[in-house]
Amino acid sequence: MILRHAFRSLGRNRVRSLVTLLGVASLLFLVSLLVSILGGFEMASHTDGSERRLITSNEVSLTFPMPVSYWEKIRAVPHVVEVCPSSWFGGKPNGSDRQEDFFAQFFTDPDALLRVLTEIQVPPEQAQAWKEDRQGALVSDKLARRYGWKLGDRLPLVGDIYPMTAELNIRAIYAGGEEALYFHHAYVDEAMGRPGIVGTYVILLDDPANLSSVAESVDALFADSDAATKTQTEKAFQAGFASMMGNVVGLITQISLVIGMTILITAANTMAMAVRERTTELAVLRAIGFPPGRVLRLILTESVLLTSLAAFIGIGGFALITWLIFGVGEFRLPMVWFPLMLPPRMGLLLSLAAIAVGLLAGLVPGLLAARRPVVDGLRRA
Amino acid sequence: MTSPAGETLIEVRDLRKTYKRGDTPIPVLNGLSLRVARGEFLALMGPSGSGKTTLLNLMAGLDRPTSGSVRVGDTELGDLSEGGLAKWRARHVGFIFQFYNLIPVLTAFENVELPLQLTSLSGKERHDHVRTALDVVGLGDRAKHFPRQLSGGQEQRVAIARAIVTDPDLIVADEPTGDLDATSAAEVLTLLERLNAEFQKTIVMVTHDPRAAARAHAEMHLDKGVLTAERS
Repeated sequence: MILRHAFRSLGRNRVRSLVTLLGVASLLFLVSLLVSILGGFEMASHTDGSERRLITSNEVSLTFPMPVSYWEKIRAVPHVVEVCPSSWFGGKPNGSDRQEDFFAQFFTDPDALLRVLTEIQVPPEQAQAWKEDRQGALVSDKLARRYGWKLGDRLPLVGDIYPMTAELNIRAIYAGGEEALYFHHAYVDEAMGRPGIVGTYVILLDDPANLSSVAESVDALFADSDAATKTQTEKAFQAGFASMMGNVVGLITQISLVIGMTILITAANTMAMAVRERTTELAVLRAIGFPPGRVLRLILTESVLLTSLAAFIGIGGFALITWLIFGVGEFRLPMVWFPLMLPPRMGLLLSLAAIAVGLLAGLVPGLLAARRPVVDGLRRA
Repeated sequence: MTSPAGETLIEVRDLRKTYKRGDTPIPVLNGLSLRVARGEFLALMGPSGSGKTTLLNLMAGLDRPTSGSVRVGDTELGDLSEGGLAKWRARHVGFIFQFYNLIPVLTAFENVELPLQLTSLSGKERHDHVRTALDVVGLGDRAKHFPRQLSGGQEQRVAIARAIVTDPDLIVADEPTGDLDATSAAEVLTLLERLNAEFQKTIVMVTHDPRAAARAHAEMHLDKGVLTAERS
């Protein structure tokens, strides 16, 4: 009965309820978007196998390279199983200017890469073909599906950072791991006149327990050189990459908090107005014997119903739309290298947060109504 | 002053109520005493500000006196906590207001059912009680109507059904005909008479209307917080 009463009460002022509902739903949609971006960063740094990997970059910045001579020196550090030079290429497929065509591209050492990326699966004959073709490219199955690439296809990558066009042949397609394209370090090295530089080194260790000690050992090796290094876990590296993009994570968190406050204020304002308009009605309920707690429960139910409906529309709508676009359609957003999906656990957490905000929004007006002397309420009639 | 002889349901002793407007005390009831017999139909009359509604509220356990006591049946209302008073009202008092005060988003049936939500009755028992109450007020066929779909007289009859659905000892009515046309007012008064005569409900009614007061068994007149006259 309380639920029915609360539900119908939302329909008293339909315009106000609808505006509040849509407003809160839109804000929750936005929070879902931001949270899914945060989740994407997190997911991107959690590839299988990353728990045994370190990334070494120039201490100054990711944009500063390191000498290729570090490769062998790092390999000699105890507990290091393999080291793979990996440099960001930043090219455009077929010279495309579309931002949607942004995806991760690295030039690397094929043998080392296949050993450090333990999570990817490449058919052996394709792996061999890639290794043997200096212009060969290894691409993820997701990328191949997105662009309709097949083995043997020709792919010109027009460099943004490097003044060259990499004329690549698709030689291998891998499953698992992140969406990316890899090609030969030697090819770029030769095309650029053997500059002998590397963007990052990916280091595979024998045991995750050695991550910290190996990171310290590697950085100690080059501490006094012109290109001192910074070695961190893959997760920390990804977070650093995100922070390089203007501390996106922190910004998103702060925006989400502001949106949360806005939802709270919007819902609380609506509930305050709704309760004020029904002062006499609530006093009548008290007069006929409804205890204060039951009146409070009625208002809290109404408030939670409002934010729950908004959560259903905003969060549910976001989950449905992203599933249709990114799940079924495998569409990608410009400059976003991970699928934009709201994990079910986050959807549930956001919904619970919406319910909590509903409770908070109804609490003050509910308590005021429940505690108001009955005769004061009746006098308003 | 006392009511006619008979078993006393309400006993009011030396009742005082003072409100405060800022720092200024406003005395409303000044040492008022009375008794209302069980089964009585009493009209409280008097000019505006005489304290009628305040007295009614105190007898119904809606407000607390500044001093003095109100006993209804075996219950000394001053001894009850807020929660206790709410339970007592739910069990023993039916309320009828001038402006009906039905919940607009609930049907006539659901409005009448409201007080029964505070009981342990089953759904079927609640349904039967509501049906009976609506039949008593002659609105059995309007159960699914919302208040906006009813006339003023019908709304007040639904309010009366809500007041009697728990079979209370006491019905308090504050200007129950004040917002009705003459015909509807007459119907409501006839209904109150019937509740008093057939169902032995004790009714205390505040009214300005002498014609309404004339339908009661007894009248008490208040002025400036004291009883000035009575008819029995």
